[in-house]
Amino acid sequence: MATQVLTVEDDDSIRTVVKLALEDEGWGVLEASNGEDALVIFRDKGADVVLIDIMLPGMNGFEVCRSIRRTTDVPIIMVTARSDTHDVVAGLEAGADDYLTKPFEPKELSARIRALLRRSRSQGSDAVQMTFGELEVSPEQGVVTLRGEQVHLTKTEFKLLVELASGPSKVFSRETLLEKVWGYDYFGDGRLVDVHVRRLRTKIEPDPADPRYVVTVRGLGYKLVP
Amino acid sequence: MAERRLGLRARVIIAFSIGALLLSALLSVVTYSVTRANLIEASEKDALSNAGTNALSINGELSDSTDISELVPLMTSVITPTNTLQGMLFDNRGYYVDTFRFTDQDLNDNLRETLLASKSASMTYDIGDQPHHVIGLPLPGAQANAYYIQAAPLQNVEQALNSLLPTLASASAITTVLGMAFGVYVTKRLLTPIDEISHAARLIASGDLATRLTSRGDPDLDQLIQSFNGMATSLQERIERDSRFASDVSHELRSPLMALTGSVAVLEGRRDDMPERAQVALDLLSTNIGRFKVLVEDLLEISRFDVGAVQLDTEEVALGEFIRQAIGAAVARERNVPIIHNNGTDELFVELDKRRIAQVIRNLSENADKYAGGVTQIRLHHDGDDVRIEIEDEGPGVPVEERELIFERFARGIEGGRRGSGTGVGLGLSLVTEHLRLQGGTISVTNRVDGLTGSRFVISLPKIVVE
Repeated sequence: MATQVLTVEDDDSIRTVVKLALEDEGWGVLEASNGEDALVIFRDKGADVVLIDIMLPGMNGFEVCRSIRRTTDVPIIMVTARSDTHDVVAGLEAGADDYLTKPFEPKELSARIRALLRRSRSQGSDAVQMTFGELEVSPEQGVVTLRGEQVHLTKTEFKLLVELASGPSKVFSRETLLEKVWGYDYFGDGRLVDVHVRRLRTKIEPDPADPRYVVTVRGLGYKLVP
Repeated sequence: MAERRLGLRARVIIAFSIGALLLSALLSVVTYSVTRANLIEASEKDALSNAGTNALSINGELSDSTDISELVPLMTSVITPTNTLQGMLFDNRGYYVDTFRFTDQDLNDNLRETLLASKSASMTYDIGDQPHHVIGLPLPGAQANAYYIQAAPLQNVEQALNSLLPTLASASAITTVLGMAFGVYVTKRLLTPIDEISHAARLIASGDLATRLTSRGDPDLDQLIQSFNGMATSLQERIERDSRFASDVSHELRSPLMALTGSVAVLEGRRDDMPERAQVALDLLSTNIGRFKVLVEDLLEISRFDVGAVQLDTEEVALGEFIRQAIGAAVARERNVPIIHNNGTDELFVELDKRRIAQVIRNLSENADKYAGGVTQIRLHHDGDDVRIEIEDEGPGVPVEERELIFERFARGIEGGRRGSGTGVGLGLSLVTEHLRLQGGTISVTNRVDGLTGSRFVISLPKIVVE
């Protein structure tokens, strides 16, 4: 079945043009003009990627995002009209995997969607199981365990962890991670990495404030300590 | 000419010092006068009783027949030796001078007259150079109008008073110093709220709009604090309203632009199916929407600066790596712009707003692409905490008379004045200036120093080096 993208956008012109552009890529598009409809459509039909505009009438984009995130790991892209730290970080904190600022090029959107789909379909190729203290990462099974118990990570968080695990103790710059995990080929937004690292830490670190595994390397980026 | 006025602090301290000085001086003068009067009275009383005793003793030894020649031995035998001067006056036989240098001249006319008139006298006048208390008493045993005269120097009193003076002076000095110290204390107490207010005002001016003063429980100060907080609140609301407006406008402009950009992209995907004339029109549409998009983005960015709604978002980065990434993102993938490190800039950690500085570099790089064939190299220098980024090209350079102008809004160099290419909006460099200003940085353009043609954009970022 063709990839289905659910686009939640109240502006008819934008929704239509996004639909046209995504259909040109060969993807199916589901449309919702408000948050409530979006949740119903997502529940009934599902989607492979969800595109949510932050400014929606009634239920706002953050709420839609949180609501969807409660039940699934489906890749979510937030669309914001502002590149202010507040909206971007709030969107990522709500569980979005990536964000786009209006006006974006349809090419940019499809590139982001492709990167997310890649992420959710192949969980890294090196099949070996990797162990870091009490943390075990199995890229092939897509499973992470901490002290023997499975940790639930979103696909982006998992991909980020696998990427860091691919070079134990090696320092990954935010730019490298943006490229490898999010598929950015330009000077990306480090906040994307920072928010996801923060979320990852709350799930795998004994003390997220004083990380044992995912350690910040001052001025350079992050590394995974074996 | 403006009069140089002393500060409130200095004036209050001076007032307190002068007050303390005046008060202590007054107290000293009063103390001195009272002490002096008391001492003189006591000494007079002393002298009077001493003189009375002596007069009584002499009187007992005297008779009408006592010869003048016997008087001296008589006096010396009777009188207890003191530091007084003695003499006798016989109105019919003249004055008799004693052995203690109490001479005829020492006998004041006034005393003589007072004695003869009222039989006794007590007065103070100078004998030799010194003030003496002179007492005259009648000697009825001798004959009528015979008097015993005794003069006691007031030196003791003066000495006592003289020793009091330094004590009083130092007490005054100490009081003055204490007054000054009190003045310092009071001004400190008084000015602390003023210092807090000025600190708060500085914080607000530097962008911390949520700054408020806390009540001190003093009704006089609370009024000021309330009006200050009221001002801060309305200022904050106003700025937030303005920034909300900018952000609302941003949304309003971005949405139609989004629809336009998307539609053109969909059309471009079908360009080959179109007749030639439609293709030309599509290209025009596409180019101009691109220009429009850049203009709107730049305008929105600059309006955020104008309403003060911008926030610096700094983080610590390795300078060399950051510049490499930033220029790498700005230029085409296959191009490699050499970065030349000077005095250890490759090992430098700096604190900067990555997004803004990357945008500055991208902007300069795009300008170089448009007008000068692209950036050829980047040089990094640092001087203490200050970092200099020099971005060089090998283009025609910027004429001297345009070197300041190009950083102003909607200003373009002569080369950029041609709109034929359909690109180039004169906001880029003014945005660069604003981005840098937010970090305390500056930009200027000069010739290349190595003698090659081309321009060199020099970005100075002060105090960003970490450690």
